[in-house]
Amino acid sequence: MSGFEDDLQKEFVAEALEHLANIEADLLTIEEGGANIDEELVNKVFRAAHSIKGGSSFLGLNKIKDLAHKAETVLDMVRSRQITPNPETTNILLGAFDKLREMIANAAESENADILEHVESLNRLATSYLAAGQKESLGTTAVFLPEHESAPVSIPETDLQRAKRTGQFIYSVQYDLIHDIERKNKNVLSVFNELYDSGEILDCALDFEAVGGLDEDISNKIPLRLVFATILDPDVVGTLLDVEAENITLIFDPNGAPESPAQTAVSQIDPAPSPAGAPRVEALARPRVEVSAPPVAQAPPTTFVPPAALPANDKQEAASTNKAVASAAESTLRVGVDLLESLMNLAGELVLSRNQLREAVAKKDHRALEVTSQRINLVTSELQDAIMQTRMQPIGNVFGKFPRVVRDIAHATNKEINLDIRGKEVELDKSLVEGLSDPLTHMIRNAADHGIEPRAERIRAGKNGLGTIRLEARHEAGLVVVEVADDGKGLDPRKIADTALKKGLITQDKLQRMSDKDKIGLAFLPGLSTAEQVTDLSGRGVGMDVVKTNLDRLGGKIEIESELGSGTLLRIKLPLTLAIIPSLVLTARGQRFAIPQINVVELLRIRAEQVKKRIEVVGDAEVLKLRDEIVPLVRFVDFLGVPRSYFDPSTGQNEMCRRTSLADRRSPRYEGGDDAGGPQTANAWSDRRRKDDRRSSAESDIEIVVLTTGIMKYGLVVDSFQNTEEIVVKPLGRHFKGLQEYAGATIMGDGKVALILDVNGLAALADLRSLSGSSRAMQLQTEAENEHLKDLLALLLFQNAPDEVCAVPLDMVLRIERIGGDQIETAGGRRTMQYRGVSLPLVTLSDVSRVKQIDEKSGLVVIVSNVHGSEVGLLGAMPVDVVESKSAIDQSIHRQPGIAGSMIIRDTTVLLTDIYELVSAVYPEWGVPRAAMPTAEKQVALTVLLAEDSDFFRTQVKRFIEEEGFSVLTAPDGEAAWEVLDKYADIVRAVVTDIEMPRLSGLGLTRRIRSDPRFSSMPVIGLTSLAGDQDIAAGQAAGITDYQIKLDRDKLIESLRDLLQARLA
Amino acid sequence: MIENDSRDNEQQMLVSTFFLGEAAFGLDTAYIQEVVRVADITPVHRAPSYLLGVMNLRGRIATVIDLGLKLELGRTEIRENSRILILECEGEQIGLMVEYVADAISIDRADIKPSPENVRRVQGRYVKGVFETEERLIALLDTSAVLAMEDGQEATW
Repeated sequence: MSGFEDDLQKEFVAEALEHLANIEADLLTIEEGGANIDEELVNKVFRAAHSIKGGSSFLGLNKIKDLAHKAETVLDMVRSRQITPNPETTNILLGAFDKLREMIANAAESENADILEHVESLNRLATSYLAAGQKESLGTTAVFLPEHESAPVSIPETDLQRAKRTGQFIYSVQYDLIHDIERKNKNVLSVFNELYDSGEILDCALDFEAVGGLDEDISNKIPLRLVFATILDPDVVGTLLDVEAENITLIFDPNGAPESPAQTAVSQIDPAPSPAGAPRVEALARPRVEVSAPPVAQAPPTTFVPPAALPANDKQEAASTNKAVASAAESTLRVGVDLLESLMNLAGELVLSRNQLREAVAKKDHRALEVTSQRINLVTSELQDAIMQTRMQPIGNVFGKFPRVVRDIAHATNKEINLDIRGKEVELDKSLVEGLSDPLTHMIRNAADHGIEPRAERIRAGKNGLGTIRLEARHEAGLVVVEVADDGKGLDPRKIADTALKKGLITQDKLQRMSDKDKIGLAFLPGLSTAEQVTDLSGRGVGMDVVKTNLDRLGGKIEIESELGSGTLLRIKLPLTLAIIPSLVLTARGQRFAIPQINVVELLRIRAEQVKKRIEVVGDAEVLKLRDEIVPLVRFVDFLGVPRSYFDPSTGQNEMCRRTSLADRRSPRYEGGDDAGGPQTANAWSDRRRKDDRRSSAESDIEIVVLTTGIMKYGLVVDSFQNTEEIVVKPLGRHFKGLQEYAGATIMGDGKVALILDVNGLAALADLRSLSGSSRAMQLQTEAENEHLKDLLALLLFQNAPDEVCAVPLDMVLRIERIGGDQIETAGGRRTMQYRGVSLPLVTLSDVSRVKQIDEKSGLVVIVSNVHGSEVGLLGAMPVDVVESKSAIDQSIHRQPGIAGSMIIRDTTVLLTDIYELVSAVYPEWGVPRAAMPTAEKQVALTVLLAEDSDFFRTQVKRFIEEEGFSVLTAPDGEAAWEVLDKYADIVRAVVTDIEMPRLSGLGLTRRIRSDPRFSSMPVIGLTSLAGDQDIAAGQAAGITDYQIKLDRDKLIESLRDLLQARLA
Repeated sequence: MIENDSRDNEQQMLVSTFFLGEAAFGLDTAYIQEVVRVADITPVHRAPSYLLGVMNLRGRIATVIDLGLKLELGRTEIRENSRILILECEGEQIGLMVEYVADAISIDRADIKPSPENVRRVQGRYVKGVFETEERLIALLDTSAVLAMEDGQEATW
């Protein structure tokens, strides 16, 4: 094979494999979407098949071309919604793409491959979806004979129809490989790639007939004929094609008759093509002409290989080709253009430095020599770094294959498994990514095969029938963490322990001292996992020691957590030695440090005048008030202690070490030249701090970086922040192993070393956990974290009397109108106003509650709500305001008719108006139920379970529902609700649940309800205070029947009634 | 450069000599990867004080030891002529900061004598032996002892 073609083929293989890399995931996504076609995605897969077809066609790889073409046809039918993707179609397509990958990886042998099975399935698939009249089009070819061309052009009928459908022109284009492509510094594949952007290449062939002329030197021209379909019209297509106009012939015009009166002949070929798969008509278009000079891609004669002649052992073949796939994939690497550019720059610098070096040597200039040598030193290390960076790969490269793995296992074992992949973008060194592939496959297989139970078993266990495997990668505390978690049956520690004992891997004595967690860890013991009975008993543990060994080799750690019945979590921690991590660079005492960005929560600058307010001393510790949180503070300079002795090249001086004691972990700060040592007492420490006048001086803004260890937050006071940089982590020497505060070191842009701080280590060093101040801080923080469980209630605040602030839930408010006092009419002791042509009843709090009369002077507002189906106006006074509050609602102090309770908002007591109660008191006749109540006997049976953690909402909602004649059982959280439901399964007819609750959330409760066959049709109404679309979607996914707003009594009752009636009927 | 490679000739040994204050020391050149000028050294806080810090050695992080402090002779003065001897140890580069580097000399192994009593007392564990040149007595350092991690060092510091 000529070098030219060889290179091209290599490029084709690399490109094609890249196209194929994510096909599986894409096909699975397409299948998931079903009839809801994601056109872009289908297009992407289509393009992959299409470009493989183009390239292989040029290279004469006919088998590849044929299979790609069939796949393309099916994909086009998916795209045009003729085929709805389902598992069957996906299987066929996956099989075809697998075969393609196999053939491409071994392109030289691809002509001997057997594609019959795949071609037939694809054909069957296409045929079964085609309309009766179209079926024959599948195997036929339309032949055009363009005016100026000697050879007929044949186009598969399916392609022609696609062009017609999409309004594409079809052109026959004559390229000259030498003048149009080689001389323009292009290659065929890049030309093809350009064309793919604007159309489709239906066929391509080297066409020697077309040259024919005697006046031309035949060896100087290698004609390539393309059949190109595009929506570009003849006027503009020339620009794209970049060939002389005379070489473009329009052979099909979607708008009318073809420009060149083609003799359209349709020749029928066998719908099931011959195993060789070479369309015969096409052979006409590619006459075999022997040309000796030009190194062209000539189609090897297609040889028919009878199936019997194929390798008997398919497995062997598959194995060898798999290997070929792997090696082909590894031989190329994608590198970002940015990085490539910086490599180029560095290479340029290196050349420059070399020139300087030669000059310096020639002149024997000692000084210049030194400078140059330093420069080369710097450039070389940067070059090395940059080259290392080219090795960084997203972990998604490994993750990509798992949807298929899971799907296949789910298919084979008849389970329903959802694979949730997160953190694909996390980058790791290429070798780590590759090394992770096997252990992860193993873990995923285990999870799918042994972890997740069959649907029926899951439902029996009260779980969602659909099992979930979560695969997640992330940076955590400077490590790359990869987790595989399933919600399957979990591991039984006793069984693992028994097996380990039986196999003599552990002594009884030792076992007795082990916790369940330790026992589960035994799964990693070499020798244990190969035991078959473990597989049978625990359903897990196969090859876990192999996984561990693999990870040990990568320098990784694996942890296992499992709870019998609820799932298993495997966590891999990889060192970041090879990883590149984005980091915040900060300075303290003129020295730079890096902190992994993953640990950084936020950056704060506290203005000098704010310092007193924001930073407080609790015990002997400083804490920062950060919104609702109290965060312990660590002064980084305290940690650094006194600058250590180091050589300062700028001054040529050796700085003195004024360190006191190594044991002095907190190296107190020194004032002035105070060199006296010894650890100071906590008192002296805080005394000194109080004396510290930094806070009052003008330039004493404080810079704080708030860090998280994953468990706790703390603030690090630094001198200044610099920027965020991607840094390459390098290990520190073994002399520093004992220092937990460093995660490593990195080399900055200027060639100097900066240390990387370990956020966990620093926290431990500062002894944050035991400081009195911060334990309180931790407590406050826990409270703050529980804060989100409280309901966020949006309230409309208004004045009643000037010093009486009242509120109504914003959800109840239809409109707010400003009115004048003269608009109010009083008749029969009831107030109304003319409003939009009707009379609007008005109520005020003082009608029923012992509150002051409304102060009309400050301007009146009418808050319009809908109560029992009628509009009612609540009178209030200006100003009005809208707040969102999580404050607790007190139901005892201010509770009275019309007032549901009180809460503290912005240090003011706010009375929460109960508008239903108010209206019922003023208009008692309104409260008559509108719809016919269920009959008395049914009513007794109608019990509603209400789960709500807020006392206020629980009593309110309970009252609503009870007033409608239901009986209500209540529970303060999801777990309790589940217990109640389980106990009163016979009488509970509907569940009304809050979403955010401790212990078990409303969604969790719903999922549990849904997975229990007793309650599969139980209506579940989700209550929210603020329902976002996202929440609603999540609720629906969990199985919530309806969403209602907490205090919208009418809607809630209506919904409850509807659902129950539907159920009774 | 190396005429008498110690590995070729068991009897001969090429020793690089250098000074810490007035004291002269020698190190088998076979252990020395290179000698570099003093560049930026990043201090590592809270590390034992004989560890000066880390430096960038062509993209690798090298630990720099103050040999004077390590040998309990007091801090090494860093001057114009100061150099760092880079040793490779278990795949890791470790630099020894010395005051200045003198010649590399070839000695006969047979000429190495046990350290005198007084040397043994102070830096005994770091010194393999001594040998004499025309001008002075040179203490031959035991590389592995110098590069060893300091177990219990902090307690005696």
